Amino acid sequence: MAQKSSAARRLDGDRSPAMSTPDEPTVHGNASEEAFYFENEGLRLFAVLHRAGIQGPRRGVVLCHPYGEEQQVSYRILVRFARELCGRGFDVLRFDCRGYGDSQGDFEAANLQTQVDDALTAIDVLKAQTGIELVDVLGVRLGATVAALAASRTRSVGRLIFWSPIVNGGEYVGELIKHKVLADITSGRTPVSGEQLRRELQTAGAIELGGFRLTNDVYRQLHETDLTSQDDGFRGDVLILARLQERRRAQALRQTYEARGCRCEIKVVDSDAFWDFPSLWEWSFPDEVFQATLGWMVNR
Amino acid sequence: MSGVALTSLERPVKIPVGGEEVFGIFHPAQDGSTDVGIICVNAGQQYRVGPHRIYVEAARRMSRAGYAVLRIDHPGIGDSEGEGGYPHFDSFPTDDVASAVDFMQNVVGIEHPVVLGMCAGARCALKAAAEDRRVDSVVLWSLPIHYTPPNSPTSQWYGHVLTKEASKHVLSGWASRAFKVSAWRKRFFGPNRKRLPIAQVLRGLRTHGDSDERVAAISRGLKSIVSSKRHAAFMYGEQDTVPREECVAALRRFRKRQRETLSYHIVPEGDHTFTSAAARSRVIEQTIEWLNRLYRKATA
Repeated sequence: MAQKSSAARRLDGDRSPAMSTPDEPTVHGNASEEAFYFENEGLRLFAVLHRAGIQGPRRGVVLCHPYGEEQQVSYRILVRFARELCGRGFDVLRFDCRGYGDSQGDFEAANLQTQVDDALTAIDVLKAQTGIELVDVLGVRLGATVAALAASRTRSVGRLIFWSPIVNGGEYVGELIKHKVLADITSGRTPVSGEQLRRELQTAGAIELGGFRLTNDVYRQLHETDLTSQDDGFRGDVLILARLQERRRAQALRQTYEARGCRCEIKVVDSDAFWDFPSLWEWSFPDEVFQATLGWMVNR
Repeated sequence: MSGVALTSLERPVKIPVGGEEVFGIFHPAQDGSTDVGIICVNAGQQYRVGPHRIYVEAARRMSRAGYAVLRIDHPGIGDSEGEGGYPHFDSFPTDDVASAVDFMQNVVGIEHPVVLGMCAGARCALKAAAEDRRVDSVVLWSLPIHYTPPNSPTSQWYGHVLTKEASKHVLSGWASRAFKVSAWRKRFFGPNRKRLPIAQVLRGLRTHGDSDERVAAISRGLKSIVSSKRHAAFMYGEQDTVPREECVAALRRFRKRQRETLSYHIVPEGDHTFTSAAARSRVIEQTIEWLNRLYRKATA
């Protein structure tokens, strides 16, 4: 990790005098919000640091976004939650993994492993920027999987918070393919079966899933990922937010963490799939998820 | 990697609008040109990266082709301040687009501001151009002149008049299912039974729907572009049938000489949001070619 710290170089960009004014952080009371790029493995990654601006002991959180289009749909939800956390005294770092959002790189060139590497660097960036030694990591869907895998590779994570975690990558990729098949049927395109898509993945090396290309590499990595069978050194506290239909997987994950000596809590929430496209037009935020998470993070 | 390689000077900016700030990413032209600057307006509720990250790819390629680009978030979207909550296609503001034009002209020194939008963003771009004569030209990707899909998830879409083209499209869909018992069962007992816009379809077959204020606003926008002899590029995916046909019908209402500044393009294999990587690449390429023709830059 020492190597990572030195690599986690913050880039302020090349500010010309004429451009300096609009780049100033927005200040809400003592809090501020600043967008910048940091570098990992030669790529510039976009990040926003929310500083709570409080005196005394501080707490920090890194947020890990979900996969593909889910990242775009849930973007504002994470912005709003970061602001909520910041209002309660947390310094928060949001960032886009390579190939996502405003970061450098092609989506097709990114995979689960690169996302974990980016998350580890983001943790170092937050530590370097705030002086906080032990940070929390919150992940949404596949971002939760990334958070869990990153926490197993560093001693800098104090607590893990998962929102609807993808516990089994193989099941998740199966869902994505099923989603694609259904989308083709409902949109009137020539339907292609899941089996055909898997064959195409093998032969062509990648398939289009909702505007994002799933590569064979990512498919394979997801198939090999099961959080209940990871060899994991993380021993901190864990909160799992799960919807009713995700409860079984969440319980298996809790057992795994408890078997390692972690304190793990599940909160079952009545929430829509806020990472799905229709939720964009509903303009609703998962308030129950927010409240349950804030309650646990602030009071624990 | 070439498709979305980050330009070295890409940077976050904040632009004051009223009492708030909207967030954006500014891409200077790689060759330092300040003659033409393109402002990308949110595609509906989707934040500044656009559907399938198309705005990021477009901005980086345009920057390399010698155009400055600014991707902004409306208030309440992405990283912008404000609460948002836009219930329908025409509820997005245009004053932030005007502020973005201020920024491009006064801070960057852009001579010819161009506004680009997709879908709802195209409607917003057109209205912004109609209101602000400083906008030199507009690029409208998948501009819906009127069509509101009958299976849209949001109730606010209903109660509006459909165009003749949309009505025909809906009717042909019904006709193709007329002999299917399951379709009739769905029609009378399915969860969307109240959503079939029968009255709108019948009314749409008789009218052009201009009595509807939201359609009239688009007509006014088109007239403003034509009367001021400004240029507009209309780009549609080949598979985006109804909006495409509606656009053709709307443009036919102008005399041939009036249409000289309007340019209509079809993107092979493209759907409404240019989901496939090939269609995305093609619409960006066609846009750069159009800009090059208009502003006399050599096509790379």
